[in-house]
Amino acid sequence: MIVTKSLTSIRACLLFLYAILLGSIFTGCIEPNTEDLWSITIKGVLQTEGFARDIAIAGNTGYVAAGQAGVQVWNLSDQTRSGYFAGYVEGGAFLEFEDVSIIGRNPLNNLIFASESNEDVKIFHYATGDSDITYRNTIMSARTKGFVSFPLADDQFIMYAADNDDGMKWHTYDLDTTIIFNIEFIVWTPNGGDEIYTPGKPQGIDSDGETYIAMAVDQLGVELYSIDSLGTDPVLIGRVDTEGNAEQVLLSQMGVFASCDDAGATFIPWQDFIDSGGRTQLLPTGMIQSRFAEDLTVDHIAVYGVVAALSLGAKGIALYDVTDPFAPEEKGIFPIGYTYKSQFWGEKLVVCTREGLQIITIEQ
Amino acid sequence: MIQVKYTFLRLIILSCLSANTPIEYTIGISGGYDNNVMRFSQNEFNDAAMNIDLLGGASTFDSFVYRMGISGKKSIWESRHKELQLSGSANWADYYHSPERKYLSGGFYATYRWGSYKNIKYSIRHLDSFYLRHYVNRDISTKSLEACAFTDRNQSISITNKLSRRVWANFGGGYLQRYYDKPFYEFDLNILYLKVKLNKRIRKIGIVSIQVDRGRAISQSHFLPNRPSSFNRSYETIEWYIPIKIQKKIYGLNEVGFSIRQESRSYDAEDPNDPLHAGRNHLDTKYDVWIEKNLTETLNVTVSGRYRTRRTESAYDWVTDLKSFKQLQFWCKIEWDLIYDRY
Repeated sequence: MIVTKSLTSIRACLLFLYAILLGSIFTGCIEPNTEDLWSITIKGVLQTEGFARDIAIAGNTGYVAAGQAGVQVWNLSDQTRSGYFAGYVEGGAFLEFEDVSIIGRNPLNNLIFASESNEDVKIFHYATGDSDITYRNTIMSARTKGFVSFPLADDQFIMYAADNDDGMKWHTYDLDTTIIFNIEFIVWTPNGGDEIYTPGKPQGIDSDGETYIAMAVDQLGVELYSIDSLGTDPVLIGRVDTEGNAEQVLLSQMGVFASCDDAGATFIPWQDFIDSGGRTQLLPTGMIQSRFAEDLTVDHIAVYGVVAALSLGAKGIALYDVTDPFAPEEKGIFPIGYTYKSQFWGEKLVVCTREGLQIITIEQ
Repeated sequence: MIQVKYTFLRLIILSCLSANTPIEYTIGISGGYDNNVMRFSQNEFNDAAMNIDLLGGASTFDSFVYRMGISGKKSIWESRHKELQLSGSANWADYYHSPERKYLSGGFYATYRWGSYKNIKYSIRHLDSFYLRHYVNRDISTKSLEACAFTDRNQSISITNKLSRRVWANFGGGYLQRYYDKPFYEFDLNILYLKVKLNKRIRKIGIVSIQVDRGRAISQSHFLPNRPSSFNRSYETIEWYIPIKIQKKIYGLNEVGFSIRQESRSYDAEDPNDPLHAGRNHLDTKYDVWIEKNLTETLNVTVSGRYRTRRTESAYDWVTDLKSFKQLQFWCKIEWDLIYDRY
């Protein structure tokens, strides 16, 4: 009798466990939703002391406009600094940089172009391994907001600059060496070029060095120029107004990305510039400019493949999937510190922030 | 949809069980009113008046609510005083003036009894996509409002035992998964809790109980990629609950009840970049009152009301103002008890 009662209880317990099992199997624990945003990993922070304002990358070397900490050269692979130039020698006097904000590199002629805020462009000679930078001369003019240059040959390059009060300036520069009283004077002198008036206030410029030059002209939007080749006169194709102030531009395969400050970002297809003179018909779907990141303050855009990295100032960076540039998809905002600009180094993103240079990998 | 599937599955399982005992089931329908559906603070009422998008498609702060539900139980095994009972419930609620808030909830329970006030109970409850309100999705935007809803899966096990002739106690623990719908995954929490309840039947009056819950909510969001929402939302919680049920007939009523429930929650976060959670705690108090009347042997009606206040403390005054709210709810519920017995 006792045995029967025990067995009965065991059966009841088993049934109870079976009920729990049943409940757990069919419903049990739930899985969290998976996100479709991207993530980032910060691979390194290179302490530039001053604010990292801009970077030009050649190979694995980054030439950094480090604000009040001058010009710096970093090996991005091993994350070491190989050059720190707080100033330069001009006429026998050492002059400290005030606040270097834009930088460029011409590897063919071993040149570094540096511009301080609202100033002209200074040319320095620097070959890999040099212990110092050698000042050559100053080109363009005050209020240069951006420039892009291309080497044409040994001892020759061309530069296009967004000059805030003069329009677009472009010149070919040749190396000119003069010896006077046994002193060698080496300067880069302009040889050809022009100044193109625009009613806007140029803020940024980009070119592919083959066909197009795009220039952000603040409240008036973005201008697109065509060139037959480097050195030929740029011809205005059209100007497209954007929401907000166009500050920086980036050419891509299908059009131009524009950073429009507190109005976010815009993608403008080529067709929009062509039709901007007097469009009479609606464009096909997808062929009109598309705004994105409307509620963010976008200072700069960098694109690699389908990834667009937007620099947001105090809010860090925002990533977008631009597989379809007419409908970019938001992939996350990452507050990595006050961000000025970014540039892709292969698949890695190098971000210029107040904390220094941050090397980031993006996991899609 | 998955929940509906599971509910059908449960019904199929129940229908296949031995028919030696009847299935007792109850159909209930409720109507109610909620004066602050989205739990807005006073400041948020003012903000929402200026920005209607905060209401997420609703045009009023309050709403009429209706709820329908069915519950059932069946004893699948009996022997003398011992019994194994399976039960389940499913409910559908709809906030008429708040289009986003419609949700399904339900549960499955298995209870093994070996005497009066002696049992062990396993329960699994599900709350599906419960809409809270619209929040800014800070992972991708600084303004874009999106619906914030969560799903709860709560599994618990409790043991009830008699301590003396009129006193019995429940002791249990559980695991609550509170996972948010896209895009607010960062709020996901795993909550472990323990629960103790002491009950005393007072002759010719009713039942008085006291319950204490202690819980720990674990957030994973601070391990997520560094985003504006990647903060630690873990917290400690302690709640006490005192219901008093007067079951002596008062003016023909079957039960009159009062209860007070107070939850004290304290967040772990100390990150100054996260003022919403850093050093924050709150006291959430719910006062309930209800009356119940059996209209017939199988039909009863319950009228209830709840006044809820949440008082938040934070080093930031704006957080204190933002997260404190008051809410008033009224319900009228009619239940019809039925028995399905093939024999």
